[in-house]
Amino acid sequence: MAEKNIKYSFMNHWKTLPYKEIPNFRDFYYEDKTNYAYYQSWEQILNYTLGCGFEGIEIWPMAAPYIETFGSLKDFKDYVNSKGLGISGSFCGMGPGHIKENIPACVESVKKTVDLVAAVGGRHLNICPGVNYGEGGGPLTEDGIRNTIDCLNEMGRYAEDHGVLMGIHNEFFCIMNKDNHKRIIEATDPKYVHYCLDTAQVSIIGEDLCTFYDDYHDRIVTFHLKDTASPKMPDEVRYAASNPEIQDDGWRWFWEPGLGVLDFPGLFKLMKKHGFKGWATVETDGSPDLLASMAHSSYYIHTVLDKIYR
Amino acid sequence: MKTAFSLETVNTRYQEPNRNRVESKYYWEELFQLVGAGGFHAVELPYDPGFMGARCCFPFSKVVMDVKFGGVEGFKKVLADAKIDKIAGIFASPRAAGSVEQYVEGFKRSVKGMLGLAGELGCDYVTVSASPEYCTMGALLDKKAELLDALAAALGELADEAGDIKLCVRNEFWGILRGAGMHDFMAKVDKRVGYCVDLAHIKIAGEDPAEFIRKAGDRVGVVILTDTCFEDKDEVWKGPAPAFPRTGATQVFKDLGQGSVDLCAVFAALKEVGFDGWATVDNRQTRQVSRGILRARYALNAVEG
Repeated sequence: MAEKNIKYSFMNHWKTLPYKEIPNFRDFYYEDKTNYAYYQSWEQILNYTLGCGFEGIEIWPMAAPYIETFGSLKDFKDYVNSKGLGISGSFCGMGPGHIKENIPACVESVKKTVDLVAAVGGRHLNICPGVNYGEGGGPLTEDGIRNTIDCLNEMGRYAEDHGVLMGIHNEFFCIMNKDNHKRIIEATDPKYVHYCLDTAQVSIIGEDLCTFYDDYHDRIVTFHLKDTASPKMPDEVRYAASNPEIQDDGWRWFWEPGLGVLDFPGLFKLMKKHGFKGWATVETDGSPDLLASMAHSSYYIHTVLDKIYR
Repeated sequence: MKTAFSLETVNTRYQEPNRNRVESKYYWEELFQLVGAGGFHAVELPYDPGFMGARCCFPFSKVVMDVKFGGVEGFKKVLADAKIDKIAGIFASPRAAGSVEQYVEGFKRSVKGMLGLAGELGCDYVTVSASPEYCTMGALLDKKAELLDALAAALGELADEAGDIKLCVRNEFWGILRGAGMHDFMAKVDKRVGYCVDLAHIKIAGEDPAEFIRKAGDRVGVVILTDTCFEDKDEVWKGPAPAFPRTGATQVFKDLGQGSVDLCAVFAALKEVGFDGWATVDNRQTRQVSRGILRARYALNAVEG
């Protein structure tokens, strides 16, 4: 069988998992006889991930729960690896680096996440390039744009020096948004600042997914693959002061690949055209059942996308 | 005695099936209706201003009330629409810091913030843990006596600021004020500061809750109605994440009435000491919030007749 070009990881949206393993699983189950017991240990989650055909996980920077359960990041890495999985990297936020005096603190914070990624053997740090639009007093001013570029360049240089690819991961509610998204990508140093294409976020911002990838494929080093049924949302939604990320009525911005309206087959044809090789993370924020999301996504990848490019 | 229901019952930090729902406002609006329907017309709020900001709708801070509910009055109106006419109190647990001075300063800052919000919300009480988890204390453990003296003094100062709000000290089984150790500490603390008597924590620490209440006497400020079957035979209280024992997975805190705390004895003791404050149900670690509300109501009906 030909070697695969794409390695799939699953974004670790599981909240804190209190146990490493549950040797007394049957007794624990009988305490309340619900499915609660099935979602409480790292062993279970990693087994589900491998069982659904993924090759790795992407983590969040809140390292404390991992350390708490495993003792150290190395122990955590070793345990994940022992399950036959890798750690593709981590996601984090840049913080309010659009304000000049905040840049040193933002850089120091991100350096810690770079160190975390390196410690767990990850390759990617996918970074939200700022605070939320509503929280941060958007839109970005000219100074704010310049500061954001400077901040990203400095962070990216540190990441590159430590073997980590830092990629901008824009979000539809971020202070860096449609009016300056491409300008900031183009103004950052391509040696240090790469791009993680979150398929749903970029589509909600208003970009055409396939056109965006075709235009910026040389900067795009990894993906967050997720679907949406709400592309091209208007400014008043993306910039809402009420913080649109989590909707009051439970409306979901994000769906498992294949359950929304995005043109994933078209994207994969372009990935084949440009010869993409590397990690792609399936991300299913907002799902009520991450295990079902994992299985559904895996089914779609293996029955639809693999036939186009794998 | 008045009964309230603690929103700490809702798990926000740990994984569980359908965990995502609690991030949206609709979940809380319906929850308040269920709490009211369960016969609870007052709630207690955890105080956690640093957790998730206003990205999620956890109503545990002023910023969330402002962004998601249109301010404190808007939040109170949502509660009132669900027949909840009182926010009985708020509580918080401190995190360990490097030195005694840093810890006590952080403690005072946090409690002052709580008192400010409690005043706006019209709360009757503020409860705070005086001790962080044992395993997180590090060098603070070597200065335990100094720390407790400084905390006792700080609580006296804070009682001046509390005014009509009853300031109470919580007793977790994983802290240095666990079980009967609380009485020695409270003897040093300004008498305006009360005990927050958490039944399950007392029992896990090896004490009888009813006897504990009798010893606390007229200083019982708040009672937290929690339940448990857990026996800490392996001293998990000293280790990390003691609510999730490494020695074997178990549900440490049960829904009220599902554990082995003798509620009849507790209520008799409360009557003996003349307690007329808030008794707040906290089904932390519940597997199903709505079921837990009804279980608690069933347990209270059985005790109160």
